[in-house]
Amino acid sequence: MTLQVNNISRCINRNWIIKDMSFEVSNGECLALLGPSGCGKSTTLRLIAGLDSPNQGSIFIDNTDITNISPVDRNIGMVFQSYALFPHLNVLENLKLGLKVRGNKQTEIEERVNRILSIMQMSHLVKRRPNELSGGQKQRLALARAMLRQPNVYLLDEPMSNLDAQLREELRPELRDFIISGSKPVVYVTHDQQEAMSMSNKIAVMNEGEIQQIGTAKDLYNRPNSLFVASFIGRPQINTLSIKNNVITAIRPEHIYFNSEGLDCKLSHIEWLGNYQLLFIESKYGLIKMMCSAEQERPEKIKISWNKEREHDFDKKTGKRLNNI
Amino acid sequence: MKNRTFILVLSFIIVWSIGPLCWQLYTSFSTPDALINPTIEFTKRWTFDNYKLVLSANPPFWRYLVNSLIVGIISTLITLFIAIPASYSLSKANKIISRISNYYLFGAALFPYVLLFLALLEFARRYNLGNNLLALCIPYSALSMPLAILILTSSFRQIPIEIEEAARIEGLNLIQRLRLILVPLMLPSISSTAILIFLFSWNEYPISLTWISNENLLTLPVAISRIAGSSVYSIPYGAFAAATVVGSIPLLLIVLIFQKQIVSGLMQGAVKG
Repeated sequence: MTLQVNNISRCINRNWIIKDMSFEVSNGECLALLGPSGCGKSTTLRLIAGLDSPNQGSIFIDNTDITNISPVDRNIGMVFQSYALFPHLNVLENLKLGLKVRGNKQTEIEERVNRILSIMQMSHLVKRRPNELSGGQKQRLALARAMLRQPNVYLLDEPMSNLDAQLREELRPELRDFIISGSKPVVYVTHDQQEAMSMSNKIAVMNEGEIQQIGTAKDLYNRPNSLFVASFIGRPQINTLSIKNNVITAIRPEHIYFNSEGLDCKLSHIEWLGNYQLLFIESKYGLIKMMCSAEQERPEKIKISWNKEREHDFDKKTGKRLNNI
Repeated sequence: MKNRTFILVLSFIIVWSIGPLCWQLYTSFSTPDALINPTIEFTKRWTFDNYKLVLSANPPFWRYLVNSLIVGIISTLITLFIAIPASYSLSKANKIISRISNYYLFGAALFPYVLLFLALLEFARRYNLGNNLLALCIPYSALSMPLAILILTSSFRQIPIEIEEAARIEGLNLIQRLRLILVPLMLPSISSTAILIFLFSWNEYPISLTWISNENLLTLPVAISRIAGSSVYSIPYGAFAAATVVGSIPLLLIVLIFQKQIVSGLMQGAVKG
């Protein structure tokens, strides 16, 4: 199975929510759509699912055009941000409903539901309603419901955002085992770059309805092609300095080091964060963040510098990359 | 202090709503003399005659109950059958359409329907709908429709859109979504709407009075007004009260049956973790 999205656009009330977007996700690959809220990442997912239809462009699964096919016939497994479980049905009925309306045989339904229940370790919960399940159990039920029909493509819309930080970390390997390392294309929407980096093979950074850059996490971090990607990927945020005219020079806090022949600076304050410390340094180019090991000694007179090859130069007007590394 | 005001307000509301009922019950068990003469001895004030009078009338009183039940249930079903799909589509309509239709519906719901009864009478004559209980359901369901649609539209809007979308992805078509997902989720508001519609047709007087003249087909309010002995000169308060008490029993039963649906918080914990 391959999911292909070709030049899709979506427009609501003359606002372009998605502009000319293309990407491809092949079998067993997980593409994360990453971007600030309102950038159109959920809309993209809805277009693939068939809940909305694109104004332009086409969507293919395995070379079949599904652009104008109803969501019923697309055979897509989707996990919603809110899980969207059916609140009046218990776990068993939630799972059976989709198979039943598709006309599967009773014995086959039983068999498939029981298999998924044991994989998800939910067999003891079958009689519970969604409001009697914990956050993690709800998420597993939503995953189970998506997997049950053996869909061609998985779409995950911020599947972790309703869980607390600890549970999220616990459930990540589970989600990876069940869906992401499977043999189907997966599109994973998130606004959490850490989640995107840890769950996916490829990341598409989106802003204002457009894909800014698609690449591996490493690519995006090391070779951002625009100022937006550079400042969106990587925490603490990249330093942006105007050293030359019409050029913004960006340099990551972790690439700055003390150097007695470097730039003259003054220490403003320090955030000590256990495994590292974040130094806020005032220079003639403005405030610079510097990240270094928590044990690092600070010299009396603060002078900093960085390697020229760690520098990213962007055009001040367009935000596009100027230098090549 | 806050607690005491709360209890005070609460007891006022309870007295306010239960008071008339108790009074009615008291009247229905009182002799006619007891109602006008407070000096009568306590033991001589009570009687079952009112109930005997009401229940032994010819045609029997239960016939009116059955008539009203038939009209009530059928007009409720017709209203819901039309109002549920109508409100579903209105809940999906864009802002302008839903605002315009809201104005119309509010206007129609607030319109004093008594003004319509002459026109309706003409309508009944023209199409020969007089003395027909099923025909009576037509104006009843039409008059309850605006309010039913308003209530149901807003409760359709309260169902998180994702639940319906999930159902679409699961492969449910529109009818299946309504039948298996949306209507079960709306049961609380559907049953309270049903009770409102039922109450309207149970209590309705002018249309029933003008459309139905056959003694065997009268609905409860009209039948009560014709109770034996009532005339311009004498009003049998005791018999009226007894008839109203008997007439309220089915209503009480219905509310008791639907109580669970009305109060249940089915939507609780539906989407958010």
